[in-house]
Amino acid sequence: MLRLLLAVLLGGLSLLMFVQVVMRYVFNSSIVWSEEVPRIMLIWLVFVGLATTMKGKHLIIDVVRERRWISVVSIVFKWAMLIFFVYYGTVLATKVSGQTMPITKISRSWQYAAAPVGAALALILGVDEIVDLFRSSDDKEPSSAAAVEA
Amino acid sequence: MLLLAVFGTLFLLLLLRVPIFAALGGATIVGVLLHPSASFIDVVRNSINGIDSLVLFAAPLFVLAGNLILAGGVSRRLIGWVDLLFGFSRLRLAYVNVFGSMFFGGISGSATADSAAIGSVLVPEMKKGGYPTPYAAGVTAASSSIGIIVPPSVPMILAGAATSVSITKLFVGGYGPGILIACSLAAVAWLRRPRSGVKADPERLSLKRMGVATYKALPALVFPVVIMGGILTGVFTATEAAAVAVVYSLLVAIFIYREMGWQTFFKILKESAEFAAVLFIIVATAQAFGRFLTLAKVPQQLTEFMLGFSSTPAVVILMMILLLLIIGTFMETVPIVLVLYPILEPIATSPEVGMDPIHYGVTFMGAIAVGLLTPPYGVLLFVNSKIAGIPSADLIRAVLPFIAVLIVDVLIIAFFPPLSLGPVNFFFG
Repeated sequence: MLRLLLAVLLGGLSLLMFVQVVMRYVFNSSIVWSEEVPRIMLIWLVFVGLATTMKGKHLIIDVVRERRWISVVSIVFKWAMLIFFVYYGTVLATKVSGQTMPITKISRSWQYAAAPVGAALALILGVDEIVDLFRSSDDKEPSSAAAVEA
Repeated sequence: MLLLAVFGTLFLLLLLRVPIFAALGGATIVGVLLHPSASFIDVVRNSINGIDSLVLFAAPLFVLAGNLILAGGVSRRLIGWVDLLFGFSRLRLAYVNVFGSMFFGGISGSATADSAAIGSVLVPEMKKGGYPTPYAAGVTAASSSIGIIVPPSVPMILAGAATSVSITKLFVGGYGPGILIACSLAAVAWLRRPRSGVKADPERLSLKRMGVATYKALPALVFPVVIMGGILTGVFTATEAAAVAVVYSLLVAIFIYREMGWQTFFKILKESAEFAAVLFIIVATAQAFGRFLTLAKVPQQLTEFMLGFSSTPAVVILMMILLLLIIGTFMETVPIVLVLYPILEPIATSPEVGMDPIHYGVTFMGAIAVGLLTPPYGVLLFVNSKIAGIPSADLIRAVLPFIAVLIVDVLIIAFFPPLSLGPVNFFFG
C-alpha cells in the first residue's frame, strides 16, 4: 500500500517534470505550480520511503562483522533518530502552519509534516524488527543480517 | 573539542552498523547539544530544506531512467553494439565491461549498485568465455569506478546540491577524465590478459553486420545523444534531461523493443522510488550535518589548519586526494560527497591553492572512485567478490594493477586541469 504510494509519487514526479519541459519548449509557457508541487512530492517520497525500507534496506557501513549486541545498538540509535524526527518534526510542522509557499499558497506544514508522519510509520513498521531480535537466539543470525549493503 | 565529539560520534555510530542517515543525524544532535546557538528543531528543518531543491530532482529521475534502460533492453543493445565494435579482439568481453560501465556508470547513484548490475551480467558471461574468475571480477570492479566521473553521475548532482557548483559544467568536465580512465583500464586489462583459456570468438566485424546492429540499436544509441546533447547545447537543464530520459527509456522499452510490460514498469517504479528514498534520507541528514558544521565554522577552521600546514598548492592537493582515498575505502559515495565536498571546496578554491571549482569537483570524484576500490574495505571489492563468488583476497590481487593505474589517472586529472576544463571552456567558454 505504502509502496504503491511511493510508485505513484515517483511516477507523478517524472511526469510533471516532463510535462514542464514540453510546455516550456513546445508551448513556450509553464505550469506555475509545477515547481512547488513536485518539491513537496519528493519530500514525501523520501519520508514514506524511510518507512517502507525499515526492514534492512537502509545503507550501512559494513566494516564490523554483525553481532547481536551490535544489532541492538544499531536499532536503538535508528529508533532514537526516528523518535527525534517524530517529535521535533511535529513541533516544526505546527510552528510553520501560518507560512505558505509563494505561488501555490500551500501551507509549509505540508512540507515539514512528511518527517513526523514518515518517521512514525517507520516506527510502526519497525516493530517487526524488534520482535525478530528478541526471538532470535544467539547462535542464530539475527534477521537484520539481511541488511543490504547497497 | 566540539569537532572531535561530532566526528567521533559519527564514526563510532557508523562502525556499529547504525544506518548512515541515523549516524549523521545522531552526530548532528551531539553537536547541537554542545553548541550554544544551535537548536534541535533546525536539525529537522535543515534535513527537509536539504532535499527541497529542484536541482536534486535529477537524481531520483536518473535512478529511474537507469533502471528502465536496464530492464527495457536499451542497455543490452548498447552493450551489444559496443561488443560488436570490439569483435576484432579476443578480449572483447573485457573491453565491453570497461566501456559499457562508462556508458551506464553513475546513473544509479551508487557505485556498488552499478557494479552489481553490470557484474551480474558480464561476470558469468566472461566465466563462460574462459576468463579466470578473479580477472573477470577485477575488471568489473575496476571499471564500475568510472561511473562516478562520467555523466550523468548522481554524485555530481549531489555535489551541485551541496555547493553552488554548476552540475552541467561538472558533467562536461567529467568527459575527458572519464575517457582517460576507461582507456587506461582497458590498457591494464590487455596487459594483464589471461594468456590462455579465453575462447577465440568467431565474430568478425563487417560493414553489413555493423549496419544491421546499428539499425537495431538505433533507439538505444539515440538515448545518450539526446540526453547529453541536450545538456551540452543548453536545451535542457540536468533535471529536465533526467525527466526526458525517463520518458524516452519508457517509450522505447514498451513500444519499440516491447521488452517491458506495465507490470514490470510498476515494479521498477516501486524499486526505484525506494532506492531514491534510501539515498535521499541520507542526503537529508547529511545536509543537516553540513549546515551544523558551517554554523560551527568548521570549514573555515579546517581551511586555516590545512593552509597553515602548507600553502604549496601541490602539497594541499595531494593531501586532499590522500584523505579522499582513505575515506573512500570504507564509506559510500553519497555521504562522502555530501559531507566532504563542501568542506574541502573552500580549501581547493582558496587563492593559495587556486583550483577552478569544476576542476576541483572532477578531481574529487576521481579520488573517491579509487577509494571505493582500495583494500581492505573498498565497497566495490566487497560487492564483486560476492557476485563472482571468490574470496576477496583473490579479487584484491587481480585488482591491484588497476588501482595503481587509477591513482596515476587521478594525479593526471589533478595536475593537468585542461583535461577537465578544456571541454568546459569549449562549450561554455
